[in-house]
Amino acid sequence: MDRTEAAVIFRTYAKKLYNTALRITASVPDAEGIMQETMIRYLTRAPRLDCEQKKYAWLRSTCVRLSIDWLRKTRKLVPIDSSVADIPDEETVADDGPDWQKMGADTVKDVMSAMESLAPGYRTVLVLRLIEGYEYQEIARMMHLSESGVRSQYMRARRRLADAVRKMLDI
Amino acid sequence: MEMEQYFRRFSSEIETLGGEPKVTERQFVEKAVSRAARRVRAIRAAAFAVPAAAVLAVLAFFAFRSGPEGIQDPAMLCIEEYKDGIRPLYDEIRLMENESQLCREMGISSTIDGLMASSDAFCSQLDGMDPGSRADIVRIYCSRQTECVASLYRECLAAYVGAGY
Repeated sequence: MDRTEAAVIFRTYAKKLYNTALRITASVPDAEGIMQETMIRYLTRAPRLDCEQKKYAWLRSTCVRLSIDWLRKTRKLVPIDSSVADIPDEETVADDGPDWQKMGADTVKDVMSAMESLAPGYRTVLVLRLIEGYEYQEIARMMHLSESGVRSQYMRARRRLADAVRKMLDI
Repeated sequence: MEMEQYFRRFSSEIETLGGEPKVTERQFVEKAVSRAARRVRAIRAAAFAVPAAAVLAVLAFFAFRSGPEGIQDPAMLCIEEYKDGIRPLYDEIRLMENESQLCREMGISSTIDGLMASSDAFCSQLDGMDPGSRADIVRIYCSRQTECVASLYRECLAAYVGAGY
């Protein structure tokens, strides 16, 4: 084990990975554990990746998988009904929520609190799609769901978030 | 769509909103070093324990099957038992190859692939012999092959540990 490499990995990625895990698990001690486990796995098991982008992609993906595994182990990830036949597209869907275009940076904290208050399944799919920028297919693979199931869950989560934000900001 | 735009627009604010982990760099490095050392110790222990277990499994199989209720073709079952016995070593070698460039270059898992494929052919070459003699020859063959795989495993492990893993 190269101590210098471990230190560099910690300095570069610890905060990012911790926050990714925290957004999914909403648990500070577990997010810390997942963050450390992710980096240790990289240092002890992963092939060495010279490209920073690939390295971060590997770490982030492992962190997300470990976070989802944690939700599953703690029985917080409830299976959802993926039988919705007609799933609206996100480009056309109306969430009946706040006017997002008019909302400024001062609302970010409240929006994130609203997201944290959602059920873990909804929160996870929103975090992966809206913040981490994963495609539906990738989310489906990580959450062991069908792609249509993920789309369906995302649309419902979106509506729940809009409701929660509207209530939180009282608009 | 507006919601997605909102998150894109404020992505840097969302990122900076997050907190700092409480664990320090030093604590993490110590933990990582300790885990890596434990892993190497476990691999070293397996280097001796698993081959011995594989040989014992082959021997136990023959002891069990040597009675009057024995099966029709003990030679083929011996081959299967041999393959099951070396499987943990093979899996560990693949893992080391995945992590170490030097181990990959040694190509030991490919050599073991070849050994496993040739064992079936070896067994079929003995067709026509009486079952007892055939089983004796296959038993010796499997025992030597197991030792050979264990030796290859040790070479891979030496390279893996020598590379600083």
